[in-house]
Amino acid sequence: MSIAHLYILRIIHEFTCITIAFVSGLVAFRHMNLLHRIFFYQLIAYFLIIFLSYAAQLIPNMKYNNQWVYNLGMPIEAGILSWAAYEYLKNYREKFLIWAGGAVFLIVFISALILKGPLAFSNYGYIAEGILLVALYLSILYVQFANYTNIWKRSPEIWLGLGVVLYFAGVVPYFSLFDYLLNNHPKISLYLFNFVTVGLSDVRYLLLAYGFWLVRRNALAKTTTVNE
Amino acid sequence: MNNTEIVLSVISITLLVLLLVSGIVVVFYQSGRQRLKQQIELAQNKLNYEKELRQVETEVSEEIMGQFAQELHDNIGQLLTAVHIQLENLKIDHPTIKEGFKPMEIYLSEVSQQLRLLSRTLNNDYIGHIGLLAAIEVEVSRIKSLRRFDIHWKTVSGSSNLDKNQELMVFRLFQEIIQNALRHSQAKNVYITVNNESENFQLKVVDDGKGFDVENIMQSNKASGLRNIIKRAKWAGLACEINSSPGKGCTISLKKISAMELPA
Repeated sequence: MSIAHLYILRIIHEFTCITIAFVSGLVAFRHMNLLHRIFFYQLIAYFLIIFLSYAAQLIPNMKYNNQWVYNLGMPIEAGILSWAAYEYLKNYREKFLIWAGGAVFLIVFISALILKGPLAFSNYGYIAEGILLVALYLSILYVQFANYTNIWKRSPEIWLGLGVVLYFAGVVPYFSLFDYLLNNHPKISLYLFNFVTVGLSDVRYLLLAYGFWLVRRNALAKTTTVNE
Repeated sequence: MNNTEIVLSVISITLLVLLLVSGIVVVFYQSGRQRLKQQIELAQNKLNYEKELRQVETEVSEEIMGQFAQELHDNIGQLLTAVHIQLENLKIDHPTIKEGFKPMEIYLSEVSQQLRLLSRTLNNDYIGHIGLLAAIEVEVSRIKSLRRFDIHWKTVSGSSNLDKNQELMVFRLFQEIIQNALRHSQAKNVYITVNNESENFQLKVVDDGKGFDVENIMQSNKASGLRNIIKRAKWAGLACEINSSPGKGCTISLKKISAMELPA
């Protein structure tokens, strides 16, 4: 498959998955609590970043470089998802982990920006963000499984958290080799980006859509029971 | 390293990491299940312990009531008989004031009658022997004779599937409900309905007294009697429902919980 075909295919399934998640979130919005709404806000932010990343490739004299857009989106994404974790986790130690992890992420992210420049993707920042969010969302999954073991299939938090964990855990190996691959094997880097990162992103947003659908389903089931 | 090897290496590491994370999630799930299982076992043990405790409490109180009934019958009853004989002798010795003894004689026979009924309703063997409906009927006649309120009594007879312990518990709860009505309700009428059909056993006591705010009373420290009724009913496999509001009387019903309604 040529790079052009791969690119078109990527645009199609990336926007399809985001649209499914967006529509599902929009339908469930009035039944959502703050935690679910934060995930919805993150989806909107992600949509804007993706849109901007495609638009940035059209800017003249930038040589199709859109890596700075991802640098822009990284702290926004980390901030929103950490906010969601902060809302969910009640324990003092877990809240401390969020602040400490957030501080480490910012140090790594800013250091990488200074060393590589703002136009180059801060992959080390993204790895730090990934490790932080995997740790936070594994904590959420632990709490959720401990308290809602028998209804985990109907728990939106499980599916929303699982999407985040799978995505960030899966992209860490690729972004660890990002600089090497981009400098020595740019075609492979692009192929792997489309295959691994975008593939996992699709899984993440489909799980997000399922989580939003569960929010609505649970709310309607509750209303039906009350009416009965 | 050629291109294919690079791609395969990255994909393998990614899959390995995903596998590891999935493993962690599965461990969380298993540990959650284990914890839930332990919690259920703990709750079950607590329930069994409380059940046994309640059983012992019931047995002890039944034993005491039995002894009390025996004492009433054997000692107080005998003393009343002696008083009665003494009164008869006095009537023979003083025929001129024979008429003056009449009110005392009436009171004495009333006391004897009340005592006999009371000793019967306190005796669980007697209740077990005559059955729940008859025992309630005896208690109703005893309360009627107190003339505190009019009792309207209705039964749908049949053979309930309550066991002996449940029947005894229903009777004791009935006594407590009636005692509450006597003490607090200021009712003029009390309506008692018993449906003794096999699967639909229900006892309903309705009064037209001053009533009370169920929610407020249950939250206050004045409801230990009501809470006790609900708790004892629950242990005996009965659902207890209390409906009341100020000025509108009170309705208390006891209903057998069917096997399908019982919590798993």
